[in-house]
Amino acid sequence: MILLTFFLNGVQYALDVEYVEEVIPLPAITSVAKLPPFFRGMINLRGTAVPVMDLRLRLGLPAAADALETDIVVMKVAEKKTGLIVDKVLNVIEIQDAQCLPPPEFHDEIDLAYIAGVVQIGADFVSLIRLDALLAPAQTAAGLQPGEV
Amino acid sequence: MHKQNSESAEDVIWENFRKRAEELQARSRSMRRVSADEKTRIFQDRAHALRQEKDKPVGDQDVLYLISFYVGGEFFGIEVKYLQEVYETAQVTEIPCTPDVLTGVMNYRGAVLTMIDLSILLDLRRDTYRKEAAGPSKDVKGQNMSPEKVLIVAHAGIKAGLRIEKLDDLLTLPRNVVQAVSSFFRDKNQIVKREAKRGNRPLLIIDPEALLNDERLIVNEDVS
Repeated sequence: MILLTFFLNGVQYALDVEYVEEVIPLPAITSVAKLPPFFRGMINLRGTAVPVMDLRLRLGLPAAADALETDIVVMKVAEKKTGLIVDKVLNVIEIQDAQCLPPPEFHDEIDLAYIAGVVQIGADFVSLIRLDALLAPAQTAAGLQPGEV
Repeated sequence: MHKQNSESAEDVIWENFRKRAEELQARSRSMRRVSADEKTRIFQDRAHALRQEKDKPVGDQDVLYLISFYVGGEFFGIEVKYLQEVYETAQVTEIPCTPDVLTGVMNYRGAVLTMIDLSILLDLRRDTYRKEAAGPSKDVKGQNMSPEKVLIVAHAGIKAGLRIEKLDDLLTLPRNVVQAVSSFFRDKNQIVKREAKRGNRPLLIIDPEALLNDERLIVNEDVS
């Protein structure tokens, strides 16, 4: 399993590289009316309109001002592209599937529905984010129990 | 004495190094502190770059750039990369003992350029072509014809002029709308290998490589 790790609010998180299309530095985002608060709008990615989600807001973390280091991870799930705003993309690492542990019973910062598991990288635990929960409509995702979907 | 001197010189060097490093650090720190306006501008620039990034390579792979024109009442296209120039009409000088396909030569910027008659090469309805394009001129080889355009095509060092009736347009066609002509036609001529639909008209795409290497262009005639 290959993971893309990134910082979010000073903590490392990871995404499965399989769904990552590309990482781009944050551009100006065109806002779109009537979006849920965690959607920031869309970007023109070589002629394709790609919706951009603020991962901090999606995961219930405090919002942060856009910095020059801020990145967008463009994911492609079921032929649909979505951009995720993260503080900073860190690394791509390969792990054994067995290294991915089930999520802890408690988690300080984050709704467990979004966590697929925990991976130890060096001394740190890194949360592996569940994409299906992330990209599902907010209501559905909020009602998700770990293990569902 | 000498040793002391060299030591102090080294100290000076290291002191300078340290100062330089501090300067650089300070500069990089100040570079990080960009104003809000500047930040907005950078974000805008990135968005702009993102819109166009890789646009060219992607476009070049998926898209065919063609120039389209009419010859003998048929609609043709040639890839722009083979096209050197669209030349206004010129006096064509007939060369004796050459096949009909070779209309003659013309003066192209001081150089002699061979003219190819596509309507003969492609076996088009010659009568209509003459009537429409040549107007009153009844000359068999079309000498002194009414003004028309000449496409200068080049491939692998071979250059030739194609007389056309009417220039149509520069087209950008996605590669997936271009298809091979049916094998029935392909056996008859090697020059048109692909076609595309333009509106409801078929657009025949000429392959200049095959065109310029056509054996009918080879002159081998004895006059006794």
